[in-house]
Amino acid sequence: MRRLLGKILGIVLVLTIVLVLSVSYGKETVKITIWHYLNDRDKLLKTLAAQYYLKTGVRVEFQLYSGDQMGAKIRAAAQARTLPDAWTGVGLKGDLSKLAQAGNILNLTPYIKDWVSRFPENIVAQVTFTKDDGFNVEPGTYGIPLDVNNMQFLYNKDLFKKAGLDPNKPPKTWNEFIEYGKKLKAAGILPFATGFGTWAGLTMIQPYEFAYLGEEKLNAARMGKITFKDAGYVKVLNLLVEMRDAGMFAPGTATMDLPTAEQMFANGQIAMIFDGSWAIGVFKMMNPNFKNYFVFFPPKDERASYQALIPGGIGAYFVVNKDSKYIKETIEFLKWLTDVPQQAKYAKESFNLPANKNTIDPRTLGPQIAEFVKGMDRVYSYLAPYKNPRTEEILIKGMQLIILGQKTPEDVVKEMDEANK
Amino acid sequence: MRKFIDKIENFIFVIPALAFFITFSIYPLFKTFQMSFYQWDGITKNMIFVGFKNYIDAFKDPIWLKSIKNGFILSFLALIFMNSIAFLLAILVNSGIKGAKFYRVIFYIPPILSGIVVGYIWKWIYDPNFGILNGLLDILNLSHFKRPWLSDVNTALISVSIASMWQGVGGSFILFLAGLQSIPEDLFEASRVDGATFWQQFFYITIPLMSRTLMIVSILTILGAMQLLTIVIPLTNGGPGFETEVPALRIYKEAFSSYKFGYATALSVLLGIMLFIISLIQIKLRKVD
Repeated sequence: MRRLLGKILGIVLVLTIVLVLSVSYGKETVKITIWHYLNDRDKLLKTLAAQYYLKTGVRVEFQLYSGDQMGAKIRAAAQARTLPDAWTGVGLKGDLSKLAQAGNILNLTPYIKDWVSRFPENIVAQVTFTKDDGFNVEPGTYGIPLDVNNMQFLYNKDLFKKAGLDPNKPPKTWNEFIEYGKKLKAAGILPFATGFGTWAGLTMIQPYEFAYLGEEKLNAARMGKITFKDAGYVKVLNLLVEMRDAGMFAPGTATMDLPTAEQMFANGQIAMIFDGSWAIGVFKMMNPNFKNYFVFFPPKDERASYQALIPGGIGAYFVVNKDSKYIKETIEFLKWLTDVPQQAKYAKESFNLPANKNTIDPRTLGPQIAEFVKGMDRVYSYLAPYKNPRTEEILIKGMQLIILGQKTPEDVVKEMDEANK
Repeated sequence: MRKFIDKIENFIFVIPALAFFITFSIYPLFKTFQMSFYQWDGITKNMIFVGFKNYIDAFKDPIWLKSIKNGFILSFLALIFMNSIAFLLAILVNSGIKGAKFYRVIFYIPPILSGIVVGYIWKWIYDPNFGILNGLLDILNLSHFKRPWLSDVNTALISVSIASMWQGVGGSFILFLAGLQSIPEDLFEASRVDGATFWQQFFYITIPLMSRTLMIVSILTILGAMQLLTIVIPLTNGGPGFETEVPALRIYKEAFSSYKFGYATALSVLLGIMLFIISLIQIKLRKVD
């Protein structure tokens, strides 16, 4: 009898363990990890993730990393195969192609084909590879856009007024721009700064690269098919000389990073800045009382033969890890995140232009954002990679030395051509 | 037989530590050396063997050579100024001044701060528009000395050097202090009885008995200055131009900005060999002394 009882108790014990294990296995929660660099939107993304958890039971953890170091972090994690389920992409096709070739990111085409039309075609094209585009990647879309942006000049209306300039008439031509700079300087106001210490300085001259060289010549020079000298790049860099000679650069601009320039603009310490549409949210975070500023398109240089095109297009976008355990769940979350209600909340709280075209309602946009929206038609669609990536660094450093009067545009162009051989 | 078993037993105890050492030191070192002979972007599986090309390119690369030159300038400045200040502070604290323990703690705070934090602190100090250095010059009626310290090609490297010395002085100070405290007090007492002055004690007792510490501090200073990275990134990121480019920053940029991982590892190997030779020379010189 005792032995029978023992056996029964043993069976009950085993059954209990099996039951407990199976219940806990069945309740396994899905946890998706997403790395991002959207410092000003971290809280918002986490709020949306919490909302999604309540709705679906799927946990999404957003982890914030420095924007400047994100690229290095991705590359290191790709080597170690420790990438998260998804992350905000850094760079465009040049960087994406390497991750795609290494099998780190997923071709999203089969997963998003039913809802990709919610994004403008030219935006999706920035993260889509085609058969003969030279990137040697399996054709398809590899990114899900979160927002769109473009970069233009912004100016402080109060400081314009203080310098005797009409605060409702920003400069339309390059000559006016230089004249405005001189007037601001004469009134004791620092006219201009942007992030010449980093990538942001490059973006300021890009509209004029297109204006002076035209798309064809510019891309040919970048790919090393013709020299920058022959393409006439000296004229582009001469614009920096003209700005320098007019005393337009705030002290320290040569090595300044963009956040420092943004802080100075938001504090009313500089009159103009070259920045992206995302800066509206950044200014609000830095100085909530700073509102009297506006946006203007890069002033037309009458000496240039082509139309100026501005940097922009896809802003933040997500890529998905090809080896993720939760591919389906991650894409479902990104689909939800880029749906109209979430995009509307994102746009309202972060002051960024949503990627979902059905979300943009011009009637509800603030004046600065509305101005940036107008610029979306004049965003360039393609910029060829440099033959040697170091050329870009030579250009950034060369621009710094031109601003400081240590080098001439001719010196810098010569160095660029040597680097891009 | 027993001896052999004992040896095996002893070896078994060493295996875990040995395994860690091989996995985390020897293997990465070997791998770095191996990668330096390849052209590789750091992500794709496409690695092309290029032999010594990366090493040959390094010797022709003006930016790399400039970064090495800057590294030597930073080392030289740190050796002379940072170590002199550290030595002086150590002597003062060791002389039994009031609050010696307090100073010992205070001087050691900068070395335990992250380089990035130190970089941002000094960036704020040097800021040309609202930094405290230019503000102080205004207050002292020395406005003509005001300048964008980090954007001026004439002052950028010196400014980086001052920030790195501020962080490093505490480390040298602690080592010097330990060295001073290890000198037997009776040597000084005996010399005092013989009528030796402070300077005679300094040159004939302190300096000779501190020679080993001086050598260690010098080696560490050169190694630290040549590998400077985290302070430079927030301060100047190597600019203006390449005026503050340092070897570690160059290696980082080649690997993570230019996608030239093979070349970056070749630069790392060259830097490692260079630092090894410098350390050997210093140790050799001390033996000759």
